[in-house]
Amino acid sequence: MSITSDLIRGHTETIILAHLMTKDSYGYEINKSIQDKTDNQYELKEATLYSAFRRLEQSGYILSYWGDETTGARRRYYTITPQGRKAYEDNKRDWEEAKRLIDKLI
Amino acid sequence: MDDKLRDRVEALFEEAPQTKKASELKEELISNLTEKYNDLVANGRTSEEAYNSVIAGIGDIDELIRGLKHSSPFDQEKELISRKKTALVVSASVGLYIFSVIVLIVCTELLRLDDILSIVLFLFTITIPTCLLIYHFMAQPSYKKEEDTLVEEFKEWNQNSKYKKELYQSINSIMWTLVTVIYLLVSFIFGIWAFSWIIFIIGAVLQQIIHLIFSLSNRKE
Repeated sequence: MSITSDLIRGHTETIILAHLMTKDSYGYEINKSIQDKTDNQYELKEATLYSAFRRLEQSGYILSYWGDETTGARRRYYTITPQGRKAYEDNKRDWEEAKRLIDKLI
Repeated sequence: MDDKLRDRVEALFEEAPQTKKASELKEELISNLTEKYNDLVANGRTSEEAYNSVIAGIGDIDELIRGLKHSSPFDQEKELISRKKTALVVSASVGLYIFSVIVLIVCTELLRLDDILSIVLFLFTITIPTCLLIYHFMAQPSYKKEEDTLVEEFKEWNQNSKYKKELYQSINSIMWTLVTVIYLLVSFIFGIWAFSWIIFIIGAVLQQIIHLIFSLSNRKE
């Protein structure tokens, strides 16, 4: 599992972008959906998740805004930018290419 | 149990700089961790188990805190470019100021143009570098934050309001110079000295409008 985690970690940012392609979201929701989609086999550490958010923000791929929750703590939502959508498409294409080559090699 | 989580996150952020970014990150983290904790408890975990699981899930927070401390090397590159641009604009403007005096001398001594026309041309040449300087300094932030702390943020705010006052004064002086230029030009060319003084009243109205725009934009902040 640890090697798998390392492999996946390299794609953290693309995974986040993939989630934001469908709708705006916040940290816990994104992590929960990752858990659900992988049948609880994979979950991001908070530190990894927020470092990725900061990097994506700096690259201009996502923007953040504070929600106006009436009850409980405020949530910080993230939304994908047009550059972010393009980066997602590019990364996905790169991944498909790598997957095709690796499948041939191992 | 909420407090226990909050205390834990506060402790993690002890090393972090006291900035707006850091406190926002802290708030974001606490809100998401609390929701995760509540979910775990709702799914039948004991509060102790849920707390441990949430804390274990945070991972190595040092990377995040390091990210709050350092600005990227990208910023330094940008700063160098903007410094070069400033040098270019300032030297071009000084050159144009000197050139405007040459224009005056050439007009009066060599071309033997009318005095008023020469002064009009002189003033007109002066407005170009003045506009250039004002545009340049308006387009870039005047105060570079050394650290992302609250004190620096206050300094920035302070500097910006002072800068606004200066901007208002320079816009005013440009406007009055232009009004004078137009007054002399129109009066001289069309010979309508009897009516052209009305432009000074229009100038006064314009000044009030500029004043209004500035006080409205101040209130918005």
